[in-house]
Amino acid sequence: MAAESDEQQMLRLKAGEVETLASLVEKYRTPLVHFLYRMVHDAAVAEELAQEVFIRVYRARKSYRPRAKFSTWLFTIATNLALNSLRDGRLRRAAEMPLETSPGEGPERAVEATDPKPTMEQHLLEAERLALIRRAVEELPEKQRLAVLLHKYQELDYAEIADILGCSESALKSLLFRAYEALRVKLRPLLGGRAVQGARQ
Amino acid sequence: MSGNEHLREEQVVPYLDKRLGAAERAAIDGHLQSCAECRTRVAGLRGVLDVLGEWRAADPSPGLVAAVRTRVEAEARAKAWPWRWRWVYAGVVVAAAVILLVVGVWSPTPSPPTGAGTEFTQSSEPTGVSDDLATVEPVILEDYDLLRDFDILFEVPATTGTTPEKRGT
Repeated sequence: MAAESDEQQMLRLKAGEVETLASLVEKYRTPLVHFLYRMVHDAAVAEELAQEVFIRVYRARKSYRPRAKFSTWLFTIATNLALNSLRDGRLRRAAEMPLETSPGEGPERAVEATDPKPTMEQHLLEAERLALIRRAVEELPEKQRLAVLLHKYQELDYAEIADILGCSESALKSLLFRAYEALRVKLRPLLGGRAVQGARQ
Repeated sequence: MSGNEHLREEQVVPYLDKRLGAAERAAIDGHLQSCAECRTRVAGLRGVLDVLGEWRAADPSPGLVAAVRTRVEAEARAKAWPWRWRWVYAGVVVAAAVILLVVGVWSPTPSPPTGAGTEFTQSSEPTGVSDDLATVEPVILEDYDLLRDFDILFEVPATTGTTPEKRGT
Protein backbone atom coordinates (compact mmCIF):
# COMPACT_ATOMS: atom_id res chain seq x y z
CA MET A 1 0.00 0.00 0.00
CA ALA A 2 1.39 3.39 -1.00
CA ALA A 3 2.24 5.78 1.79
CA GLU A 4 -0.33 8.44 2.40
CA SER A 5 0.56 11.80 0.88
CA ASP A 6 0.83 14.97 2.94
CA GLU A 7 -2.25 16.31 1.21
CA GLN A 8 -4.27 13.24 2.17
CA GLN A 9 -3.12 13.63 5.76
CA MET A 10 -4.18 17.26 5.71
CA LEU A 11 -7.61 16.24 4.48
CA ARG A 12 -7.88 13.80 7.38
CA LEU A 13 -6.86 16.56 9.76
CA LYS A 14 -9.53 18.72 8.18
CA ALA A 15 -12.05 15.94 8.78
CA GLY A 16 -11.24 16.05 12.50
CA GLU A 17 -8.46 13.49 12.93
CA VAL A 18 -6.25 15.75 15.01
CA GLU A 19 -3.63 13.07 15.60
CA THR A 20 -2.69 13.29 11.90
CA LEU A 21 -0.96 16.58 12.65
CA ALA A 22 1.63 14.73 14.74
CA SER A 23 2.93 12.81 11.74
CA LEU A 24 3.17 16.00 9.67
CA VAL A 25 5.05 17.70 12.50
CA GLU A 26 7.33 14.71 12.78
CA LYS A 27 8.06 14.74 9.06
CA TYR A 28 8.63 18.47 8.62
CA ARG A 29 10.05 19.63 11.94
CA THR A 30 13.69 19.22 10.93
CA PRO A 31 13.57 20.89 7.48
CA LEU A 32 11.35 23.61 8.88
CA VAL A 33 13.58 24.41 11.84
CA HIS A 34 16.65 24.33 9.59
CA PHE A 35 15.05 26.77 7.20
CA LEU A 36 13.86 29.08 9.98
CA TYR A 37 17.19 28.89 11.72
CA ARG A 38 19.00 30.01 8.58
CA MET A 39 16.51 32.83 8.26
CA VAL A 40 16.57 34.16 11.82
CA HIS A 41 19.95 32.86 13.06
CA ASP A 42 18.59 31.93 16.46
CA ALA A 43 17.78 28.34 17.43
CA ALA A 44 15.21 29.21 20.11
CA VAL A 45 13.38 31.67 17.88
CA ALA A 46 13.46 29.22 14.98
CA GLU A 47 11.84 26.61 17.18
CA GLU A 48 9.16 29.03 18.38
CA LEU A 49 8.42 30.00 14.82
CA ALA A 50 8.24 26.35 13.78
CA GLN A 51 5.66 25.76 16.50
CA GLU A 52 3.73 28.74 15.24
CA VAL A 53 3.82 27.40 11.68
CA PHE A 54 2.26 24.12 12.78
CA ILE A 55 -0.35 25.92 14.87
CA ARG A 56 -1.28 28.00 11.82
CA VAL A 57 -1.61 24.79 9.83
CA TYR A 58 -3.90 23.40 12.52
CA ARG A 59 -6.00 26.56 12.65
CA ALA A 60 -6.34 26.70 8.88
CA ARG A 61 -7.22 23.01 8.51
CA LYS A 62 -10.90 23.63 7.88
CA SER A 63 -10.24 25.92 4.95
CA TYR A 64 -7.50 23.69 3.49
CA ARG A 65 -7.80 22.92 -0.22
CA PRO A 66 -5.18 20.65 -1.79
CA ARG A 67 -4.48 23.04 -4.65
CA ALA A 68 -0.70 23.00 -4.20
CA LYS A 69 1.76 20.69 -2.50
CA PHE A 70 1.52 20.71 1.27
CA SER A 71 5.22 21.57 1.56
CA THR A 72 4.70 24.68 -0.61
CA TRP A 73 1.95 25.86 1.70
CA LEU A 74 4.01 25.03 4.80
CA PHE A 75 7.08 26.91 3.61
CA THR A 76 4.97 29.85 2.49
CA ILE A 77 3.66 30.17 6.05
CA ALA A 78 7.17 29.74 7.42
CA THR A 79 8.58 32.35 5.04
CA ASN A 80 5.95 34.90 6.00
CA LEU A 81 6.43 34.32 9.70
CA ALA A 82 10.20 34.53 9.46
CA LEU A 83 10.09 37.72 7.38
CA ASN A 84 7.62 39.31 9.78
CA SER A 85 9.85 38.46 12.70
CA LEU A 86 12.89 39.90 10.98
CA ARG A 87 11.03 43.01 9.91
CA ASP A 88 9.83 43.56 13.45
CA GLY A 89 13.49 44.02 14.21
CA ARG A 90 13.17 41.99 17.35
CA LEU A 91 15.57 39.41 16.05
CA ARG A 92 18.17 41.63 14.51
CA ARG A 93 20.34 41.55 17.57
CA ALA A 94 19.91 37.82 17.98
CA ALA A 95 20.81 37.34 14.35
CA GLU A 96 24.10 39.13 14.77
CA MET A 97 25.15 37.71 18.11
CA PRO A 98 26.04 34.15 17.16
CA LEU A 99 28.58 35.43 14.64
CA GLU A 100 30.69 36.44 17.59
CA THR A 101 30.42 33.17 19.45
CA SER A 102 33.53 31.14 19.74
CA PRO A 103 33.85 27.86 17.88
CA GLY A 104 31.66 25.08 19.15
CA GLU A 105 29.35 27.41 21.08
CA GLY A 106 26.78 27.97 18.39
CA PRO A 107 24.11 25.37 17.65
CA GLU A 108 25.16 25.15 14.02
CA ARG A 109 28.12 23.25 12.78
CA ALA A 110 30.11 22.68 9.68
CA VAL A 111 30.29 19.30 8.07
CA GLU A 112 32.45 17.16 10.26
CA ALA A 113 36.08 17.16 9.27
CA THR A 114 37.87 13.92 8.68
CA ASP A 115 39.97 14.45 11.78
CA PRO A 116 37.77 13.35 14.70
CA LYS A 117 39.63 15.60 17.16
CA PRO A 118 40.22 18.93 15.50
CA THR A 119 42.65 21.25 17.14
CA MET A 120 41.72 24.66 18.48
CA GLU A 121 43.17 26.25 15.36
CA GLN A 122 40.99 24.06 13.15
CA HIS A 123 37.98 25.02 15.24
CA LEU A 124 38.73 28.68 14.74
CA LEU A 125 39.21 28.28 11.01
CA GLU A 126 35.99 26.36 10.73
CA ALA A 127 34.09 29.01 12.71
CA GLU A 128 35.55 31.69 10.50
CA ARG A 129 34.41 29.87 7.37
CA LEU A 130 30.94 29.43 8.75
CA ALA A 131 30.69 33.06 9.74
CA LEU A 132 31.73 34.09 6.24
CA ILE A 133 29.21 31.77 4.57
CA ARG A 134 26.42 32.89 6.82
CA ARG A 135 27.18 36.56 6.42
CA ALA A 136 27.37 36.18 2.64
CA VAL A 137 23.91 34.57 2.55
CA GLU A 138 22.52 37.06 5.02
CA GLU A 139 23.68 39.99 2.93
CA LEU A 140 21.81 38.83 -0.14
CA PRO A 141 18.65 40.73 -1.05
CA GLU A 142 15.65 39.18 0.66
CA LYS A 143 14.23 37.38 -2.36
CA GLN A 144 17.60 35.99 -3.43
CA ARG A 145 18.29 34.81 0.11
CA LEU A 146 14.95 33.01 0.29
CA ALA A 147 15.53 31.46 -3.11
CA VAL A 148 18.94 30.15 -2.06
CA LEU A 149 17.68 28.75 1.25
CA LEU A 150 14.73 27.01 -0.35
CA HIS A 151 16.78 25.73 -3.29
CA LYS A 152 20.11 24.79 -1.78
CA TYR A 153 19.06 23.70 1.70
CA GLN A 154 15.44 22.63 1.43
CA GLU A 155 15.84 21.24 -2.07
CA LEU A 156 12.35 22.25 -3.10
CA ASP A 157 11.68 22.06 -6.81
CA TYR A 158 11.59 25.18 -8.96
CA ALA A 159 7.82 25.25 -9.24
CA GLU A 160 7.40 25.20 -5.46
CA ILE A 161 9.97 27.92 -4.83
CA ALA A 162 8.50 30.07 -7.59
CA ASP A 163 5.08 29.62 -6.01
CA ILE A 164 6.35 30.63 -2.58
CA LEU A 165 8.17 33.68 -3.94
CA GLY A 166 5.38 34.60 -6.31
CA CYS A 167 7.37 34.57 -9.54
CA SER A 168 7.66 32.46 -12.67
CA GLU A 169 9.97 29.45 -12.86
CA SER A 170 12.09 31.19 -15.47
CA ALA A 171 12.43 34.28 -13.27
CA LEU A 172 13.35 32.04 -10.35
CA LYS A 173 16.16 30.38 -12.32
CA SER A 174 17.60 33.78 -13.21
CA LEU A 175 17.19 34.90 -9.60
CA LEU A 176 19.09 31.86 -8.38
CA PHE A 177 21.83 32.43 -10.95
CA ARG A 178 22.30 36.03 -9.81
CA ALA A 179 22.25 35.00 -6.14
CA TYR A 180 24.93 32.35 -6.66
CA GLU A 181 26.99 34.77 -8.74
CA ALA A 182 26.86 37.28 -5.87
CA LEU A 183 27.85 34.53 -3.46
CA ARG A 184 30.73 33.52 -5.71
CA VAL A 185 32.19 36.99 -5.28
CA LYS A 186 31.60 37.10 -1.55
CA LEU A 187 32.91 33.60 -0.94
CA ARG A 188 35.97 33.91 -3.16
CA PRO A 189 38.35 33.48 -0.21
CA LEU A 190 36.79 30.09 0.50
CA LEU A 191 36.59 28.89 -3.06
CA GLY A 192 40.35 28.85 -3.48
CA GLY A 193 41.40 26.50 -6.18
CA ARG A 194 37.97 24.87 -6.54
CA ALA A 195 36.70 27.10 -9.31
CA VAL A 196 39.96 27.00 -11.25
CA GLN A 197 40.15 23.24 -10.85
CA GLY A 198 36.55 22.90 -11.98
CA ALA A 199 37.11 25.13 -14.98
CA ARG A 200 40.07 23.02 -16.12
CA GLN A 201 37.88 19.91 -15.99
CA MET B 1 21.44 26.41 -28.03
CA SER B 2 24.00 26.76 -30.77
CA GLY B 3 27.66 26.10 -30.12
CA ASN B 4 28.63 29.80 -30.11
CA GLU B 5 26.00 31.09 -27.72
CA HIS B 6 26.91 31.53 -24.07
CA LEU B 7 24.76 29.88 -21.45
CA ARG B 8 21.71 31.88 -20.51
CA GLU B 9 21.18 32.80 -16.85
CA GLU B 10 18.22 30.49 -16.43
CA GLN B 11 20.12 27.50 -17.82
CA VAL B 12 23.06 27.47 -15.42
CA VAL B 13 21.41 26.40 -12.17
CA PRO B 14 19.23 23.68 -13.74
CA TYR B 15 22.39 22.42 -15.50
CA LEU B 16 24.21 22.21 -12.15
CA ASP B 17 21.17 20.55 -10.57
CA LYS B 18 21.06 18.01 -13.42
CA ARG B 19 17.46 18.91 -14.07
CA LEU B 20 17.73 19.50 -17.79
CA GLY B 21 16.55 17.21 -20.50
CA ALA B 22 19.15 15.02 -22.18
CA ALA B 23 19.26 17.08 -25.40
CA GLU B 24 19.71 20.41 -23.66
CA ARG B 25 22.32 18.97 -21.37
CA ALA B 26 24.30 17.55 -24.27
CA ALA B 27 24.19 20.92 -26.05
CA ILE B 28 25.53 22.70 -22.97
CA ASP B 29 28.23 20.08 -22.48
CA GLY B 30 29.29 20.65 -26.07
CA HIS B 31 29.41 24.42 -25.57
CA LEU B 32 31.43 24.13 -22.37
CA GLN B 33 34.06 22.13 -24.21
CA SER B 34 34.81 25.11 -26.38
CA CYS B 35 33.93 28.12 -24.18
CA ALA B 36 36.35 28.84 -21.35
CA GLU B 37 34.25 31.76 -20.10
CA CYS B 38 31.14 29.64 -19.52
CA ARG B 39 33.26 26.80 -18.15
CA THR B 40 34.75 29.12 -15.53
CA ARG B 41 31.35 30.49 -14.65
CA VAL B 42 29.79 27.05 -14.20
CA ALA B 43 32.78 25.83 -12.19
CA GLY B 44 32.57 28.91 -9.97
CA LEU B 45 28.92 28.32 -9.19
CA ARG B 46 29.53 24.63 -8.56
CA GLY B 47 32.16 25.65 -6.02
CA VAL B 48 29.68 28.03 -4.37
CA LEU B 49 27.11 25.26 -4.01
CA ASP B 50 29.77 23.00 -2.44
CA VAL B 51 30.89 25.64 0.04
CA LEU B 52 27.31 26.48 1.01
CA GLY B 53 26.84 22.82 1.86
CA GLU B 54 29.23 23.25 4.78
CA TRP B 55 26.65 25.27 6.68
CA ARG B 56 24.57 22.96 8.82
CA ALA B 57 21.70 24.39 10.82
CA ALA B 58 20.64 23.63 14.36
CA ASP B 59 18.39 20.61 14.71
CA PRO B 60 15.01 20.94 16.40
CA SER B 61 14.79 20.02 20.05
CA PRO B 62 13.16 16.68 20.91
CA GLY B 63 10.38 18.57 22.65
CA LEU B 64 9.04 20.29 19.54
CA VAL B 65 6.42 17.66 18.72
CA ALA B 66 5.18 17.61 22.32
CA ALA B 67 5.10 21.41 22.43
CA VAL B 68 2.96 21.56 19.31
CA ARG B 69 0.66 18.86 20.68
CA THR B 70 0.25 20.75 23.96
CA ARG B 71 -0.64 23.96 22.15
CA VAL B 72 -3.09 22.22 19.84
CA GLU B 73 -4.78 20.50 22.79
CA ALA B 74 -4.99 23.81 24.65
CA GLU B 75 -6.61 25.42 21.61
CA ALA B 76 -9.04 22.54 21.24
CA ARG B 77 -9.94 22.75 24.95
CA ALA B 78 -10.40 26.50 24.79
CA LYS B 79 -12.82 26.07 21.89
CA ALA B 80 -14.68 23.13 23.41
CA TRP B 81 -15.08 24.67 26.88
CA PRO B 82 -18.13 26.89 26.39
CA TRP B 83 -19.84 24.17 24.36
CA ARG B 84 -19.14 21.48 26.91
CA TRP B 85 -20.53 23.63 29.77
CA ARG B 86 -23.62 24.74 27.92
CA TRP B 87 -25.89 22.46 30.05
CA VAL B 88 -24.44 23.90 33.23
CA TYR B 89 -25.17 27.42 32.00
CA ALA B 90 -28.70 26.41 31.06
CA GLY B 91 -29.21 24.71 34.46
CA VAL B 92 -28.07 27.78 36.38
CA VAL B 93 -30.39 30.02 34.40
CA VAL B 94 -33.37 27.70 34.93
CA ALA B 95 -32.62 27.32 38.66
CA ALA B 96 -32.36 31.07 39.08
CA ALA B 97 -35.67 31.53 37.28
CA VAL B 98 -37.37 28.93 39.49
CA ILE B 99 -36.01 30.52 42.67
CA LEU B 100 -37.24 33.94 41.62
CA LEU B 101 -40.61 32.50 40.77
CA VAL B 102 -40.93 30.69 44.12
CA VAL B 103 -39.84 33.75 46.09
CA GLY B 104 -42.28 35.87 44.13
CA VAL B 105 -45.22 33.53 44.85
CA TRP B 106 -44.54 32.84 48.55
CA SER B 107 -43.22 36.15 49.82
CA PRO B 108 -45.89 37.97 51.98
CA THR B 109 -46.85 41.12 50.19
CA PRO B 110 -49.14 43.55 52.00
CA SER B 111 -52.52 43.97 50.45
CA PRO B 112 -53.72 47.53 50.38
CA PRO B 113 -56.61 48.47 52.73
CA THR B 114 -59.34 48.45 50.18
CA GLY B 115 -62.52 48.53 52.22
CA ALA B 116 -64.59 47.36 55.15
CA GLY B 117 -63.59 44.08 56.62
CA THR B 118 -60.06 44.53 55.36
CA GLU B 119 -58.06 46.05 58.06
CA PHE B 120 -54.41 46.87 57.90
CA THR B 121 -53.04 45.63 61.15
CA GLN B 122 -49.59 46.36 62.36
CA SER B 123 -48.08 43.95 64.82
CA SER B 124 -45.42 44.96 67.27
CA GLU B 125 -43.01 42.49 65.64
CA PRO B 126 -41.79 43.44 62.16
CA THR B 127 -43.27 41.00 59.67
CA GLY B 128 -41.51 42.00 56.49
CA VAL B 129 -39.78 44.66 54.52
CA SER B 130 -42.99 46.50 53.69
CA ASP B 131 -44.03 46.60 57.31
CA ASP B 132 -40.69 47.96 58.40
CA LEU B 133 -40.82 50.71 55.89
CA ALA B 134 -44.31 51.59 56.98
CA THR B 135 -43.22 52.08 60.53
CA VAL B 136 -39.67 53.34 60.22
CA GLU B 137 -39.85 55.68 57.32
CA PRO B 138 -41.99 58.36 58.98
CA VAL B 139 -39.66 58.39 61.98
CA ILE B 140 -36.70 58.96 59.75
CA LEU B 141 -38.51 61.76 58.02
CA GLU B 142 -39.40 63.29 61.35
CA ASP B 143 -35.81 63.08 62.49
CA TYR B 144 -34.63 64.57 59.28
CA ASP B 145 -36.96 67.49 59.67
CA LEU B 146 -35.79 67.94 63.20
CA LEU B 147 -32.14 68.01 62.20
CA ARG B 148 -32.80 70.36 59.35
CA ASP B 149 -34.15 72.86 61.80
CA PHE B 150 -30.82 74.15 63.06
CA ASP B 151 -32.40 76.87 65.11
CA ILE B 152 -32.97 74.32 67.78
CA LEU B 153 -29.22 74.18 68.35
CA PHE B 154 -29.22 77.80 69.32
CA GLU B 155 -31.94 77.23 71.82
CA VAL B 156 -29.91 74.70 73.79
CA PRO B 157 -27.30 77.06 75.23
CA ALA B 158 -30.09 79.06 76.82
CA THR B 159 -29.47 77.06 79.95
CA THR B 160 -25.74 77.93 79.90
CA GLY B 161 -26.31 81.50 78.80
CA THR B 162 -23.91 81.39 75.84
CA THR B 163 -24.11 80.61 72.18
CA PRO B 164 -21.16 79.56 70.02
CA GLU B 165 -21.05 82.97 68.39
CA LYS B 166 -21.24 84.74 71.69
CA ARG B 167 -18.39 82.63 73.05
CA GLY B 168 -16.06 84.29 70.69
CA THR B 169 -17.06 87.79 71.60
